[in-house]
Amino acid sequence: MYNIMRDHAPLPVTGPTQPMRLIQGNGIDVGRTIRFTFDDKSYTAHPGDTLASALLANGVRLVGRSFKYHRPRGILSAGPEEPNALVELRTGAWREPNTRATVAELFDGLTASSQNRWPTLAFDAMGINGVLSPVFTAGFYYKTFMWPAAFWEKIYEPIIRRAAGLGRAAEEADPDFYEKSNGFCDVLIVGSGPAGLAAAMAAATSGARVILCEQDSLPGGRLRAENILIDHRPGWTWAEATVSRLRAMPNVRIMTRSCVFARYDGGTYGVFERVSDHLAVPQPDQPRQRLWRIVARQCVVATGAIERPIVFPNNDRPGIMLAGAVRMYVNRFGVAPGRQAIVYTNNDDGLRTAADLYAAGVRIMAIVDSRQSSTHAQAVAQRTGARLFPGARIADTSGYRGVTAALIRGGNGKDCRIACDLIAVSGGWNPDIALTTHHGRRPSYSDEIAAFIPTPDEEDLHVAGVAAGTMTTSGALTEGARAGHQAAACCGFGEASSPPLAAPIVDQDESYGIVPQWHAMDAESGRRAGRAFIDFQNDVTAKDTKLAAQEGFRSVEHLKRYTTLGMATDQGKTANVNGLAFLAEVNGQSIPQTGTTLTRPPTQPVTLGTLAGPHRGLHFKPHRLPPTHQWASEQGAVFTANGLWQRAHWYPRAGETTWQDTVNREVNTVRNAVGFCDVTTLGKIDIQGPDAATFLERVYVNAWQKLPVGRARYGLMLREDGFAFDDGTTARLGENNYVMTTTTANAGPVMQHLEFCHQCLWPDMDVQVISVTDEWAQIAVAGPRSRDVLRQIVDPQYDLSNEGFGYMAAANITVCGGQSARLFRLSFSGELAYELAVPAHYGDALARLLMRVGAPYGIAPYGTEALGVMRIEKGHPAGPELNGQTTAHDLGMGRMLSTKKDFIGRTMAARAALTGPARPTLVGLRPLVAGTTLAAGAHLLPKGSPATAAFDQGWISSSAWSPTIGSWIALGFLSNGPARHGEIIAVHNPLADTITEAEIVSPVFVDPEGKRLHA
Amino acid sequence: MPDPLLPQPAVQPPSITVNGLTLALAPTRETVSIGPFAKCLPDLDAALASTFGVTLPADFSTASGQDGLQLTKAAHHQWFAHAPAGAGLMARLAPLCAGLAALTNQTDSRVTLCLRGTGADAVAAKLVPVDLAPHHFGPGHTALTLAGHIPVILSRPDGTSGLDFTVFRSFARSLHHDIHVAMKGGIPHSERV
Amino acid sequence: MRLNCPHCGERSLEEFTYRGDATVRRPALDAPAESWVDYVYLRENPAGRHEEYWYHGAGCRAWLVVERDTTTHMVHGVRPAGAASENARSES
Repeated sequence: MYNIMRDHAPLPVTGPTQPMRLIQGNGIDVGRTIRFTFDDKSYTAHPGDTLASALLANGVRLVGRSFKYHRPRGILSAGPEEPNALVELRTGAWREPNTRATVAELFDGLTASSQNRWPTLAFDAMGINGVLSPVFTAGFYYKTFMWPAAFWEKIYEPIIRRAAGLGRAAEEADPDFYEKSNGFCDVLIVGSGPAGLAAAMAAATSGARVILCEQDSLPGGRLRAENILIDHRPGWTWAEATVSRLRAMPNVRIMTRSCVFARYDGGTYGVFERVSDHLAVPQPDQPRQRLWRIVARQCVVATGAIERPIVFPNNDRPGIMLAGAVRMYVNRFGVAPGRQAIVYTNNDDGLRTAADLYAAGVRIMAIVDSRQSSTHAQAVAQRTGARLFPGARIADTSGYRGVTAALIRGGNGKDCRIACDLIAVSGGWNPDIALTTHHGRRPSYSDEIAAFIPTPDEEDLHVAGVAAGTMTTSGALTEGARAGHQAAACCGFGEASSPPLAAPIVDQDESYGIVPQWHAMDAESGRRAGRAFIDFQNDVTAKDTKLAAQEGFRSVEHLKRYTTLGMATDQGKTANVNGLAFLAEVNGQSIPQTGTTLTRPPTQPVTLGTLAGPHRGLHFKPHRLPPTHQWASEQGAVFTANGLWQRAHWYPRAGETTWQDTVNREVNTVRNAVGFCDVTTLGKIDIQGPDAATFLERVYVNAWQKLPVGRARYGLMLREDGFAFDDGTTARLGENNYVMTTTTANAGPVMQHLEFCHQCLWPDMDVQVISVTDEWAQIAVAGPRSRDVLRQIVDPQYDLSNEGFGYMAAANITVCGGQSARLFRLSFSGELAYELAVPAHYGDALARLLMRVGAPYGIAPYGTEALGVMRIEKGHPAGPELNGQTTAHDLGMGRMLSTKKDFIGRTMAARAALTGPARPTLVGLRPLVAGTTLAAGAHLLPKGSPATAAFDQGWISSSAWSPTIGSWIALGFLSNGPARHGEIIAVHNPLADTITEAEIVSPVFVDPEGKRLHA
Repeated sequence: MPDPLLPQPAVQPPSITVNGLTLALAPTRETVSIGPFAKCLPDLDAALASTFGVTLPADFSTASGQDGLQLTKAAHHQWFAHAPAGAGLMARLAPLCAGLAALTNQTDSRVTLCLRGTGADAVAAKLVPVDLAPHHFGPGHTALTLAGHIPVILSRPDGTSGLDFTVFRSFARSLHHDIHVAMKGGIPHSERV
Repeated sequence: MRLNCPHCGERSLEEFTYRGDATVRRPALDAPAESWVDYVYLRENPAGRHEEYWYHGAGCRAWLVVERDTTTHMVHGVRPAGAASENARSES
């Protein structure tokens, strides 16, 4: 029986500023007063308040408008399950929409406003939607806007967006900082109510590493809402003392304001920590929120339960609240949510609200108990002086901006209208089992408590307390301790068989005695089913649910999608089971027959900022910087991203008005004098071992056994399906020592490919591979004067003459008086060119040196754009040509494919369809008018044919203005290409809607004989 | 002949301090990767043991030998040998390992950032998805893992509280930035430092 | 998701790259075309236990064979691919 009855004293208690505030609450500091505004009106509150408790303390009941019908709504709950009281917090860049007032911690100066109303909350023009509600019933999106399709974008969608919707996102970039962190423990405990605390104490005492996560700012869970004694003192003080003891243990970490929102595979949990949401502004550099990934060997879910409403007509008016939430406001926050209350319940727990309200000075107008006879109800009614309606229901309510009366239909069928400003409803409690279903495990239905309970069979998951369907505090304490003990034992701590710690003593065992009444609809009130809300947030009514079932949407999964029940941001935490029960009744089935839907992460909304963490803007992904980056910045280089690499795109000089001027000058410098470019970003892989040459033969299409030491060779790699994968040069530096280069983009994939070939395909090959990309600063020095420049740097004992160090030579050398280096005679530009590599620490110095010693020869750095222009001029394929859809044949390299050895892709490359002459094959293109732009991506068509797919013969892959040729030029792939040099073809650019003409030419535009290369 | 080339550090400034934590660039040391050829591991260990008194560690840890040599596992079948600058490591290892292992100079390819101070583990945990608890990751332990999106060799040096992040040189500035941001973000309330 | 790398210990998903079916075997060079088509394109899609290749690219760079249940995501075993561990020491 309810033996903790305090004196009944009439309201108000504290004075005119917070008319509904009681003397004290266990979670607030009434000694201090803070201010906040709601819809521009200023109010006072106390530290420890949520926005919801503060609004209720100030007598504000109307806080929002519903999503679809714009109905006035108030505060339903006292926790994260809140469907109604969604508000905008803060202003400007900090404005955050759709925040639940029930979990928004109040701070001095908070600015909050209601949303989804126009022009004001009290008078909302869109409230007309409520009048039109017959139009907006189940499936209305599907039915109303089916036809014609063109109407959707122009008419329907803008209207719906204006009429329905919630808050407004900030228009400025998020000014706050977010971070991520990783945690590890043996036992993760979710929830700090009696079960969670008992579990934490049991697990921690046995020596396990424990992390206890509590989504609230204060520990205790429901102990803060109830008048219950544990070890002869108020439950919430027991909770605080237990947390203090846990905090003192070195193997325990306690995370408050931290919601475990996901259970992923392998014992990985997502945790959302609100680090400074309770502060006006975070400290400088302090994160606003933090995303934790916690890896736990065992987990104890002690998440408690969520109360469900009863469905009755006009059950959504402000002032109609969950009974358990009312106790939370009274006991924790010291707020009376009304002066004249009706309690409507189908179980004993709801009766506790009548007792606590009465003790707080609220007048209990009536107790409506849907059960026929309850001695508990009689006792409470007698004690509180309330009128008891056994076997009754609420048939309707009235009151526009807040409830003013209820129509009670007694067990005898007689109606009685009773005035009130608060209806506390308890339809029973649903264990909060969301986390236990994330791996797809379906819960089972318990007739005893008329709710779904978890059925964990996974070895690392334990559920305790109300979350497991145990409805008493003493049961939660015992079960929590057992779960914590077992979880620790599974990790090897303590003895599995030894008894857990003695459970604390609880003064009373709560009775529950639920007899389900899911809804109060009968033949008469059924006429108002369109106002009986099941899902408050998505405005789904009893009528919608019935209609959906009648239309054949009898599966719960169909019901959900057709009516949008449970699909709002609250995930239907207060709605799903009621909806299911309703569907079961319409279908004439039991609830277990009807089934239930599972939940996915997150259990509560998680901000996108938190998921992104610090990886935003410039730091979205890491940057790789080549060794000359600092020097290039000093030169005023413009950079471009090449994968993760930041590379110099071009180096503008004074007087150059466009990037094209700069690139033309850089190309001309290389073609006529000498230029240099940092090519460190190309992948470099050191390959050593007795089988190194054999290994190269297997991964490249061409032959490698006979490549002499001191020489390099071009190589092409295919995928096993016969398409080109990557290309580059590989040099033999020693008997069993090669250095392979890859394209910048494919450096990682090629390394992975080589490791696969070695470890999975040919594990017997004796070869070692390791990346040396970062070891060497490699700089291309290109142009007719490149040899002259290198002679200034390379130590004199090395012969750089064409005879001594010809095209494709490679050697370990020294520069600058003994500094080790590597020199390769390679050319991407087609000019006399070298690549000089020095250890990466010296790359910066090498660039500065080249500028100095090259000055007499007219040296200039060039960027990747000029590099690209010159490789197009020379017809070298690059990324746009090696696009994963081209073969060696397409690239004009069909003859490279060796027929004397096995190599990756050999068999599949030989398929007739991959070698047929009709396949688009590499060609060059020149517009008939030099200044006509050729755009990459343009389609190639026979001259005069219609620009349709049927006539498509190929495409342009790369194009550039060639300052050397004095014309636009392009590389492309054209059916029967090599046989068609000289033909004029149409170039269709569908984006610009142009058709121009171009001549098919050799892809090598510059120095086709290779004289410059071999100079 | 031009003047000798002067080395340029991958990160500047060499050391920063935030909230009592320091992040510093370790002095450059010589590094050579050792990739044993097939069936050569016993002979290789014997050769290393005879000269340096140390063998290649089987697990992810650092073994210290004579003349400042340190051996640490750098891949499933590769190790790094480290020695102080000027040790001539490659010249000493080359004859020892000839025919037994691939040796590759890695002195310039990686740099090491040293995070020191109270709470270093809590700051590192913001980036590194491995359990840093002392009984999991004690002095001498190394782990090949990610710091955020950047591959690192994480190690806990003997004798000092803190962690070393060895990273490809081209990533050094991004990693330095990321650690710096984590340092500024402070120590989470729940962490014990 | 976490994989217990035989070299590095238990690590989280982002260190690994998935490749796919580890039960296919590369045919001999002179194998019939059908064998190559099967090898390159045809994959079993079992509901239940399946062996698949994963690459510990952000860790020890080892290719691994992971036995995973495709219906529950339970990992039943992880071992090095091929015989690349022939040099591995006898101690575990």
